[in-house]
Amino acid sequence: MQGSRVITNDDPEYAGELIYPTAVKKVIDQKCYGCHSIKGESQDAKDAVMWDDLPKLEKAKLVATLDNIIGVLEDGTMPPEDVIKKYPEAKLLPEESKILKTWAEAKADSLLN
Amino acid sequence: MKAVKIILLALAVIFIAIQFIPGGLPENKPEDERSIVHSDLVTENVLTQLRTSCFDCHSNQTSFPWYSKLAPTSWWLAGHINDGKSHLNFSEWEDNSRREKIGLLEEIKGEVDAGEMPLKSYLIVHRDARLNAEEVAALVKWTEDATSLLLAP
Repeated sequence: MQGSRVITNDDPEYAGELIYPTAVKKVIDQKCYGCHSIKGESQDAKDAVMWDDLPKLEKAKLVATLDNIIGVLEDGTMPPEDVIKKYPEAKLLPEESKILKTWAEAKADSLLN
Repeated sequence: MKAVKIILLALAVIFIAIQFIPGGLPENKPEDERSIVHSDLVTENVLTQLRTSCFDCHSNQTSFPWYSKLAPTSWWLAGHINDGKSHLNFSEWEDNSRREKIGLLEEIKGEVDAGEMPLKSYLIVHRDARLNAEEVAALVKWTEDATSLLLAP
């Protein structure tokens, strides 16, 4: 699969640059980016995950953030219910959730090896 | 006067009756090899702090106060303790993967540093569990040190 680079990472400590594969980026853009980016309105959402900033995170914080993302996907708590009520199309489809989770797990594993 | 008596009697009956409704308080279990107490990640000082400030809701070693057995307080406490343990249970620490441990340590750091944990309602009755600035700093430092250890393969 062709990868589309979002931001390059220049931290030498960092295990490889963070690349969002096209399929992953598509889900992020459609289902997460509204709140978890600079254009988001909720500070809580921005404090938890900023997709554009993931490549800038130090290793420990990145692993923790990926773990948080995986946990949220496993629990099915994102996007939050009130958002889905307002925008039903924001709901994460099972296959979309799987795409994100598989990517996040592989990324976390590669950082821990 | 008679009305007051009837109301008091009714309240007493209700109070006694609700004692028979299961409260959902978790049972303490003996510590096994999964507990963080056996982990290389903690020092004796850190462990003492965790026991004092966290273990009541984040381990299988809760010190239940007398009022914890009385409904309706028991229901409220059960909710807090079960919720706390579902997020983090130091007695079952080794059930977490390396990734999950790093995630939990980051969360501990955030909660403690922001003064969100221990809960304010808990600290009202558990004054010894309060963390002063020095203790907060020590716990934050511990989460960072432990994470570094976990990251080094």
